[in-house]
Amino acid sequence: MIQVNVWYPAILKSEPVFTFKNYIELEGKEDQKNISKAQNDSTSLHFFK
Amino acid sequence: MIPRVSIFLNNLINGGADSLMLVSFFKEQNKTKAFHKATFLKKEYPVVLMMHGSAFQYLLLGQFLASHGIVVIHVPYKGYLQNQFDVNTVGMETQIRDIEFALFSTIKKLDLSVKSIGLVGYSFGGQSAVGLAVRNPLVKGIVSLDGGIGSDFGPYLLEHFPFFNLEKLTMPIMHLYNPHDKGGNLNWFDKTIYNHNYLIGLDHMEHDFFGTFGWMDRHVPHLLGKSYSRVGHTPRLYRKQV
Repeated sequence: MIQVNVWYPAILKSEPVFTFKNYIELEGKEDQKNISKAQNDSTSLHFFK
Repeated sequence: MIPRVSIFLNNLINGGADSLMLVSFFKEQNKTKAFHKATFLKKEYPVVLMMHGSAFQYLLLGQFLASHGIVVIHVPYKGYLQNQFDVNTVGMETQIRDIEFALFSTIKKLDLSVKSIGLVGYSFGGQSAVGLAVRNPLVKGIVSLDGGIGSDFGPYLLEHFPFFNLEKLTMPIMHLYNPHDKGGNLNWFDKTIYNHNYLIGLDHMEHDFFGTFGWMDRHVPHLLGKSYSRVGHTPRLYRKQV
């Protein structure tokens, strides 16, 4: 499995703001994925204008 | 299990970062511009694929590009049969196939119609981006963030990469690099005769600064150790090939 990170334009609702620490934790999850050949295990991030 | 954040901070502190300023940074700068799993604003967007690096390293660039109407896709780099990345042509092919998988997963998930793709390749990702570009006609340009194509190693790998075809390398490449890097070599760009290359030397721009760490270093002195130069970061157009 491999993690897919996506930043995309989005409709802003009341989701919690992603923090720098969240990104570091995400990087930790990336480390836990042990090999290539991605499966559908995606994590989506977005930015609003 | 030690929390990932503690490991991350300890690594930086052990490397020479000021611990008090680092803690202060995370208190003051903790919020980013991203929201997790928000509703996609459906339209047609160009796509940028980020090759090599981590989500943390690309967070500012990813957010910035998304704010300008671009869908940005990234996967961490992993080995083909093991966790550790293969620093050879197997690694290149693995990286290309993984980002292709990520692209098609995202197309499916967001119901995207992709008409043009830009590639950003950091370090080893520079040659991987070139390796992908020559086999995907939707790729319209490449940005190399101190990519290996500006050294001896990247061109060597491309030379031994079975899918590489110079005649298919027709899209522009912007290569950003540190002109003082002793490992740099720009000779490969003289051979790419079917495209335009824009070579931009950034004085005192260390390799690890091409990403979030470069911005963080402004807030936390010696973030990546005291041996790293912090003088300047002044962009300078070194050479333009057309």
